[in-house]
Amino acid sequence: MKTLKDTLVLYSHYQKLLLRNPAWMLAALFQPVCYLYLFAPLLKNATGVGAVSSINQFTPGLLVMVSLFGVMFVGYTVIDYLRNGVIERLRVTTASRFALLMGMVLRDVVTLIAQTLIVIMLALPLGLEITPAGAVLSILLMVLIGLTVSPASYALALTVKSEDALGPILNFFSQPLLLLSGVLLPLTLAPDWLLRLSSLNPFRYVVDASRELYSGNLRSPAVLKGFVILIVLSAASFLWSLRCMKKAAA
Amino acid sequence: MEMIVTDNLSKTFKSGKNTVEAVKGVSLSVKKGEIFGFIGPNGAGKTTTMRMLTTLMPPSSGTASVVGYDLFRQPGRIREKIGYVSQKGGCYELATGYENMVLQGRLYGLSKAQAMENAKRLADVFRMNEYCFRKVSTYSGGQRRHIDLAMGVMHNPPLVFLDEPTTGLDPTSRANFWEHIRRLRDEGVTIFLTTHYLDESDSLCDTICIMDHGSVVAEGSSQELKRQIAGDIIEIGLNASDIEMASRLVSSLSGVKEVAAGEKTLKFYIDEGEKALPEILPLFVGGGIPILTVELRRPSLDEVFLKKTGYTIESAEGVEE
Ligand SMILES: Nc1ncnc2c1ncn2[C@@H]1O[C@H](COP(=O)(O)OP(=O)(O)O)[C@@H](O)[C@H]1O
Ligand SMILES: [Mg+2]
Repeated sequence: MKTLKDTLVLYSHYQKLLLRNPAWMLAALFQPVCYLYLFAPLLKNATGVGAVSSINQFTPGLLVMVSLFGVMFVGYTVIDYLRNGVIERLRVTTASRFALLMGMVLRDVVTLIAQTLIVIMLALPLGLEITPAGAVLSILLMVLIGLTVSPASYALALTVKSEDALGPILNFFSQPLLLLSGVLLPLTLAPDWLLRLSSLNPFRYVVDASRELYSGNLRSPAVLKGFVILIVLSAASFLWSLRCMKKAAA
Repeated sequence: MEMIVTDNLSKTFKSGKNTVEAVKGVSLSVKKGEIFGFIGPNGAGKTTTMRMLTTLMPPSSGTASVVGYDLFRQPGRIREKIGYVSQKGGCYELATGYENMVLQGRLYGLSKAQAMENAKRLADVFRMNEYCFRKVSTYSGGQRRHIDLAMGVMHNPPLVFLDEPTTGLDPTSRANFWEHIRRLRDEGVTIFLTTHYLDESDSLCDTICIMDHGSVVAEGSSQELKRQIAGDIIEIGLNASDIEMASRLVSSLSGVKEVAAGEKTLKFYIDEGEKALPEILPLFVGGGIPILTVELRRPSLDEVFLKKTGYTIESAEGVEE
C-alpha cells in the first residue's frame, strides 16, 4: 500500500518537473512530426504493398521508433541524480526500491502514451485508418515497450554510472536494433541474410505486431507473439533495474 | 541508552585485483542525545562507515545496531528512525527547496498536510523563507547545506547522520550552521557527523572519534582526548646557551613527556600543567637558569591528532588534493 502511494507521489513529482520544461516536450513532438510529414510522403510510391496504404504501413513502425528512442535515453537523468546524491538520499527513505524506480518509469510510460496519441492524431489527416480496439492495443503495445526499455536504461545507467559510458553503449545498440526491426521500411524488401539477422532482434516482432494492428488483423498470431515477447522482456528488465537500484552507489 | 553500537564493523572494496580495506574493525558506541563527531582526513573511511550505518551498503563483516535495530536483519526499521544528509546533499536541482522538503516528508509516510506543515516550520527554523521557493539550482553553498539539513530532519528522526555538513562553507556560515546542529541536539536528537575540521569537532562535538586509515585511533570527549594523550604544554623561553642544561633538568622530572628543544625555547608536555608549573619554576631559579618567558597551553586537537596518527591533518589533506 505504501509502495503504491510512494510510486504515485514520486510519479507526480517527476511529471511536474517534466511539464516545467516545454522545450523538452516540443523536442519530443518534433521527431514524429518530421517523419510523418517529411518522410512518409516519400514512401507513397516506394512500397505500395498490396491493400494496406503506405501511411498504415509507416505509422506503426514510426510509433515503435518514437517509443524506443523516446525512452532509451532516460538513464541520463539517473546519472545526474547519482552524482548529486539524489539516489542515495532516496534509498535511505522508507520508500521501497520498487517505488523509486516505478515513479520514474511511470512518467516515461505516460509520456509515451501521450506521444502515441499525438502521432495517431497527426496521421489521421494523412489517411491513417485504425479501429478503436486497434488504437487501444497499439497504445498498450507502446506501454509495454516503455516498461521494457525505460527500466533497462535506468539499470544500465546505474551500472555504468557515467554519461561517457552510457552514450556510446546506447548508440551501439540502438542503431542495429532500429535498422533490423523494419521500422522505416518493411523487411519484406530485405535480402535473405538480412532477414535472418533481423529474426534475432526482439523488436522486429514488436514492429510486426504493431503493423498487424494497423492492418486490422487484431487476432493475428504475430500480435500475440509481439505482446508475449514484450511482457517477458519487461519483467526481466524490471528485475534487472531493481537489482541495480538495491546496490546503487555513486 | 545507546543509539549506535558497532562491533568490529569492516568494509573491504574489491575492484579487479585491487582490494581497499576502507573500514577495518570499527567498534564504537554513540549515546542518546549527543553530538558524535567522526574525524579524519580524506579517505579515512568516514563516509563508508556512515553508508553502512545508514543501510546503504552491507558491511563485509562485523555487527551493528542502530536505534536498537539490527543492521542486517532490520534495515527497514532503521530507515524509519534515521535521517541522512550525504556529502552531496541530494536535492532535486530543478525543484524548489520547499518541494524537495514536502516530497521527502511524503516518502517517509507523512500526509501531504503534515509534510507541508513540517516544511514550513523548518523553513522558519532554518531561516530559509527567503529562498526556499526558488529552484535549488540557484542556491549558494550555505543555502544548500541548510536545505539539505532540513531534508534530513523532515520526519523528526531521533538520529541524524551528517556527512561533512560544513565542508566548503566560510567561517561565518559554519558557525551559523553549528547553531542549528546544537539546537537539534538540545531538542533531543542524536547527531552523528563527520568532519575534517578539528576546530569544528572541538567546539561542536560531545564525543570525538578520530579515524585514520580505516581504524579508530582515539575516542572520547575533547577534554579527555586532550588530557589522556598529550597532557598540557609548557613552553619556556631561555637564553640559547642555557637550553641544553634546562633540557636535562626538565627531562629528569617525573610526569614530563616529550621534551622538545628549540633554539631559544624548550617545549614539553606534562600532566596537570597548572599544578606542575609552580614546582618547576623554582628548580630553574635554583639551578641558575634565567627564565625569559613562560607559556602554559592546553593542547589542541591538532596535537592530539598528530600524536595519534604521526602526521598533521593539514598535511594529509594536502596530499589528497
Ligand atoms: N565504492 C568504492 N569502491 C572502492 N573503493 C572505495 C569505494 N568507496 C570508498 N572507497 C575507498 O575507501 C576509502 C575510504 O573512503 P571514504 O569512506 O569515502 O573516506 P572519507 O569519507 O573518510 O574521506 C578510500 O580509500 C576510498 O577510495
Ligand atoms: Mg567522506
